[in-house]
Amino acid sequence: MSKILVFAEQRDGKLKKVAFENLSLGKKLSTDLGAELVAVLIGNNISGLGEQLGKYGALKVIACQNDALDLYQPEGYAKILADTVTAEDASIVIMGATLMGKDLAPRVAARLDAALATDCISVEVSEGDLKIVRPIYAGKVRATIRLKSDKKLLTVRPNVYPAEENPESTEVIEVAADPCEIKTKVTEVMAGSKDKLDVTEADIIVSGGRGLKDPDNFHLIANLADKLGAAQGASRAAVDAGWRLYEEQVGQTGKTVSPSLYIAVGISGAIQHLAGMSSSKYIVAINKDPEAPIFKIADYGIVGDLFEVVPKMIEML
Amino acid sequence: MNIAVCIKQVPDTETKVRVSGDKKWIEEGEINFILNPYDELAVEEGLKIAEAHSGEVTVLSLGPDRITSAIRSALAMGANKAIHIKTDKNPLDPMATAEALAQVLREGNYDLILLGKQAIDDDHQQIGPILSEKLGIPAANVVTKLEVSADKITAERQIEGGFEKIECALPAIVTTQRGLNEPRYASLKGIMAAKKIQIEEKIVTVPDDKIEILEINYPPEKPPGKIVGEGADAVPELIRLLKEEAKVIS
Amino acid sequence: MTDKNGHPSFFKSLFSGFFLEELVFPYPHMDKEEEENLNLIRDTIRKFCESYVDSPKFDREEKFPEDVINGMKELGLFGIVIPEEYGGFGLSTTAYVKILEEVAGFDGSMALIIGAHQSIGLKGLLLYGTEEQKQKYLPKLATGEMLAAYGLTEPGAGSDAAGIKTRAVRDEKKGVYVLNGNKMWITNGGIADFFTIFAKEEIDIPGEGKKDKISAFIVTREMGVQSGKKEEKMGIRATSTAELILENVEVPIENLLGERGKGFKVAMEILNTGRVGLAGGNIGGSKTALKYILNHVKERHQFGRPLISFEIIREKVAQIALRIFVAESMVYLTTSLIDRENIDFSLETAMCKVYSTDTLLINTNDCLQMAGGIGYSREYPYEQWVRDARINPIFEGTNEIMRIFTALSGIQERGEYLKKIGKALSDPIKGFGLLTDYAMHYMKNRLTKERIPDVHPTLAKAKADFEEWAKNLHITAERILVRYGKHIIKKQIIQYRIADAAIDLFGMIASISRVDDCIRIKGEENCHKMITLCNTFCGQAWRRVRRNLLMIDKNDDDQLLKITEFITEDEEYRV
Repeated sequence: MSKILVFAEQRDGKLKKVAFENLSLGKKLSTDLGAELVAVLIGNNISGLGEQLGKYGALKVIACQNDALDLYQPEGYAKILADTVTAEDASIVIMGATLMGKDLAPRVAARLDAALATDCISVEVSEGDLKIVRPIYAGKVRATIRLKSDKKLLTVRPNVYPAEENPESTEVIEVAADPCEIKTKVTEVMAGSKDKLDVTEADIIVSGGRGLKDPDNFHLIANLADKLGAAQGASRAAVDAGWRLYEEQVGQTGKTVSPSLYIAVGISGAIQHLAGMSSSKYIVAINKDPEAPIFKIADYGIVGDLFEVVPKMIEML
Repeated sequence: MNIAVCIKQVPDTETKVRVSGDKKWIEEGEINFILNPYDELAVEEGLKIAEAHSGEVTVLSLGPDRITSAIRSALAMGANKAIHIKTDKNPLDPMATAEALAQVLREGNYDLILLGKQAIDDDHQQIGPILSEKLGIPAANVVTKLEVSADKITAERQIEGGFEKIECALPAIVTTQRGLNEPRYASLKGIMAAKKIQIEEKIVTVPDDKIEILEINYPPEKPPGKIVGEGADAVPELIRLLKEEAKVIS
Repeated sequence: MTDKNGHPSFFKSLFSGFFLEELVFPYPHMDKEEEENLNLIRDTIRKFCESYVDSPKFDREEKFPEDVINGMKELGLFGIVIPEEYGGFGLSTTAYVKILEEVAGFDGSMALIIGAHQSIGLKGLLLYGTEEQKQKYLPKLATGEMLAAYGLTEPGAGSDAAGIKTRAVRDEKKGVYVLNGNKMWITNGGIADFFTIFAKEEIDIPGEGKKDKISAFIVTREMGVQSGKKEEKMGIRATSTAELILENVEVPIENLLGERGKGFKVAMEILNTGRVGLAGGNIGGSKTALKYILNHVKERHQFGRPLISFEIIREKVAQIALRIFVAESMVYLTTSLIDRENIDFSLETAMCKVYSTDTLLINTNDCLQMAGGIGYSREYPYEQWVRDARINPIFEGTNEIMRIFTALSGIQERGEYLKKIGKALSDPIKGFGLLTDYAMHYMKNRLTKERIPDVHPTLAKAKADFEEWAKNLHITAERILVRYGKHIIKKQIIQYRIADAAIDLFGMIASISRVDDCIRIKGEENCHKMITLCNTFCGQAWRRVRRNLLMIDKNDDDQLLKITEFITEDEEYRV
């Protein structure tokens, strides 16, 4: 029986949501392909996490531990994961399209000489093979692809597949892993500006653009984001003007996001911005210009002065 | 310090991408091609490091004839040398691309290899880490802060909600992310000087692609949204819709 | 047909019935290497402008920020046309004008700052400067360490440039000229350090006695040039347009530019070339406005449909595109004539200036109109574009003067030729050689179907129309010359019609040549947009030419002038 292996990303002993999402996807694929679903954990002091993964359908959890792996260590993780894939003879490996997944997956692919599809938004079984859809040109178009190697690696974009519980009686196997020589050494993890939620992880994003007119007015965005438990984003215009930090930029040269709700405030909707956020489930646009392109893709729009609309929203929420 | 910067030519971010007739690729006819913005950061960083450590910057790029204009852009910014890598196939998947680059990079004895964290056309974001494995040297990816000394680098790499601090010895690979620097503008002087630099050509053979493109499509069109209303008066209705219709807030 | 220096002129020849094929066919191409450079320069300008050039803000604040000027200096935008041996980049006129086009697409004031510096400010030094003068000033001008301005216009001398009052008195003992006078409307007047100044000096001409003649001078700020306050203007508000005050400014004699007393020629020669830069810039402005309005007419819905689905809007959009296409075709044919050297391009640059500046005003105004109320709002760029466009038909030679210049130069050329023939006929023996020459030349170049090269069949109709109406222009020029003799000078309405016909014909032949070349290189199937543009324009143009030429004989000019008479006498509208 072939195996589907899900890399369950964790940091600080806390599993990422995308791990559960990917298990749910893996579960679906394993049903279609008649494959066995296996989860792999890598880190230190992670043995307690195995059970949670069982809830989402993993029949087996391989927990690879080593003292050197308190933090993500690129080569160490890559070697352990590649070795596990080989040992388990898995044919499909699913990772999250997170910053860790994007660093790790190509390394594993190189070690296994396998094809890797990054940032997938749809993975289906078709004629016994995987039919994969991934956005290119920042989502302006989508490529449907097939991986031609025996082992197929995927990173799947967070928030695309819902995490669904499929409780299984899970066998947790603990392995003392050998990370070999770590050349790229992660020495420290530092929190970003405050404890802000990153746009790529957030379920709700409130973004501000040039329409805010002045960097000081971004407190409106921050307040609205606070009320909604949302992450704060920005358009390229706002970042280029030096009003916001780059880490908040949504768009083709910023971050590509797919939250459940994206609220664009004072953003006209340049192609390059739309490319980064148009796959959001619901889009709200607030702009004084009724012709702004953002309204074309918005589910709900309010034409009006953001300096009146946003305070009202903050008040009502 | 001997610095290599791998660059790619990509369509301008303002380009309207049109799928080609056979749905296998995009129409290239009227596209304005530019130097990949993330690679521009890599060129800038390379130049800054070369200035500080009396080094030399070589740009490498893989692709058809048209990419010379991207190479010229990098030279116009101030890079010293350029290698245009050609293969008999085009375009290539990330593994094949990395293989082609690796073959040329191995010959160059570089202390530092810089490239953008991703190309804004195919968005694979794989080359940096694959090169790290293929060349057997460390790679700090998605870097927003970089310090280089004679034999090692310290970098800050972006992760969700924060940064990872990375240390590694040279030779090393760094993939660049916005925030690292502000790329300089090529001046007329730089552009004219770049003209005098001979672009070296190298032909390499690469393995077959492992990724097959079945079809390229436009994303499904969203059904037209609705204008809830004008001004602050429309807010109660908007909130109602978000709660009751979309059910995205509670 | 050649100018006084023996340089051929395409349009002067056309007025005389000769078609100098080699000046317009094949349509010129940029040198491949320069084109690659140009693409990089445009990229860099685009990036620079996107980050630093906030045109509405500059307009609102009536200030072009110093740090942006410094950025432009670092980019090298002040040394584009200055030869490399003087620290510049030695690009061709074509490349220079394309750069101005790119810049003007972002901000009219920015393009003018560059244009006033290179198109006219330092142009005299390039054209007439001595080696010493060039060595001394060009390197500083190339880096922008010194910015240049052109000082001709005075409070009492606008279009009538020969009427300047600024005085230069030569003091041989001190080795200086002492300059006194005021210059008005000087672009870069408040920020420049290098001025090309025109002043009258008394020159003792053998046999004629003492006469006032114009001389040109290189004057620098530290010699004592003072600037008046910055003018408050309708448009291009960010440029420093100011009065220059020359009060006993002592200019070393070695700073005389060109020959003593030949300053008027220097002044005109500078403008003859400089104008084409303005024409190119105006194309950039039109392109930006079109791009902007397209988004509006596609997005804006009225009566349940996007504006672009309405015919009247579609027609406006098409006309703008046509005008841009024709302006491009004319301007970049003309810049190539300048680059080829030893060609008289004075008529062509004048026609480019008229067409490009008139159409920028029409184009921006149409865009404003299509935007409706939004167009009138200061929150949108349309009104600024119209205001910025408005100066162009006025300065660097008003479009009225340019038309008169075009018509009279054309007609005069024909006159000169007829005079020569007349002389030859009065003395057949002495004139035999000349007559033979004339006959040969006539046979060879006479405007006949055979003389104009075959173009692609899809352009055949356009070409035939051009031939027919070019011939009519030539015949008309000859006819009115016979009819009015030297009094033609006063017949300005007729001159206007002649000029408008000439401009349309120039647009036709430039477009035909350009598209024919496109088809030859890329194949018909890849030039369909251009073919449609060219044939549509040619269809519109020959009808206008016909109308203009017909109206030379059938018109209500006398009635019009009579109306002016009584309205002027009444000093108000009273009927």
